Amino acid sequence: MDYHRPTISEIEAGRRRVTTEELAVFARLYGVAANWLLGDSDERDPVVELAARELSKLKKDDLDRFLRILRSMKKLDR
Amino acid sequence: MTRVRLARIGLRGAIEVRRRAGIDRDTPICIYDLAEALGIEVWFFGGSSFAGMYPHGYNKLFVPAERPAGRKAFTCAHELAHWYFGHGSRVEEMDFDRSDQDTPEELLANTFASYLLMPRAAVTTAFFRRNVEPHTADPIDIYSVACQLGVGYETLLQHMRWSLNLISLARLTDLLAIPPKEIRRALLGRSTTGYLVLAGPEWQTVAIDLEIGDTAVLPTQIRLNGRSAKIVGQCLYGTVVEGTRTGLTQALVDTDDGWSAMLRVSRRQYSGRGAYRHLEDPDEDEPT
Repeated sequence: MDYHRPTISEIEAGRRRVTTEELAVFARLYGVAANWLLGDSDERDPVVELAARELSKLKKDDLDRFLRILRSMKKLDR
Repeated sequence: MTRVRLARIGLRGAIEVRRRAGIDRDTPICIYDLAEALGIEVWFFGGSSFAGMYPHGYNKLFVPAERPAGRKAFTCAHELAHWYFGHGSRVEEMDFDRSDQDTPEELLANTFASYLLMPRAAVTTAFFRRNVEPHTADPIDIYSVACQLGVGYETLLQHMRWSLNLISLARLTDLLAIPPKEIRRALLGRSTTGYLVLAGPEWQTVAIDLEIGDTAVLPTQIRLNGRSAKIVGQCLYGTVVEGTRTGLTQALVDTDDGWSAMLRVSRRQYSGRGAYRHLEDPDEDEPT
């Protein structure tokens, strides 16, 4: 990433702002949608809804964790 | 569509995916590396009841983190089939490869996964390198080949019988009567609960993937170059090496006909993006 560890710590602590370019780098590295990093996600994604139905046999905390991860992820460009 | 027709489509798909990735049919693969090479992110997800998922419309697939190594690899190949054939989103049941649960798409995915991981040429070449005929191979030979192909012992045996016709039903029955736990005990001279890789000089091409605490039996004169694994002893079949921390370690034999392989160690039941599972953790304590 070419960032020093203190830089990441500062970002995580909310003491350093993140540029648009940096946001794009983080989204790519973590495999998530930039929108999700900004606190926005599509709660009614049909794939997430399917997963919620089909994975209902999972323990509740596992299910919640999985759906949270799925909601964070970047979909393919259509 | 008949099972035979589905199997043919699965086989052709597996060959095509290997071709796209530039991998010959006689070469063992790391299924996670192959998926990433095709632009598909592999994610491991913890949870004892999670069996795998392919979410349509994403370039990702999910593999259960808490299953044995061979099962994880097969699940990854199975989910890759759903991606390759353009199936809709899939959430796998725990026993998704049981034949009585097969829908056509699941049967297709299982056939694809079997031939992608275990093409005839790769299986026969692996035995040839060990100077063993498949139909006379003993449990340790089979276990060794299964390790190299990244699949479970029983999965390889079933494929050798029912898909490749390399062993008889009687031989299959005999070999299935010996559980992998017993083979691991025979190899190490003691019982072990973790994964055990048997990798001799015939092991080529793919890295040896371990989780912390897993062991590998490597050639006797092995030397390690790295901090993620250490030599913990000797056994009848070679030097016993254990994964001790995340990262990469090179295993070398310094002889004229030398040999080397990369050991890649990840956390136990690693959850997260597959491509990052071997990254060293700078905060991790030195092993004692």
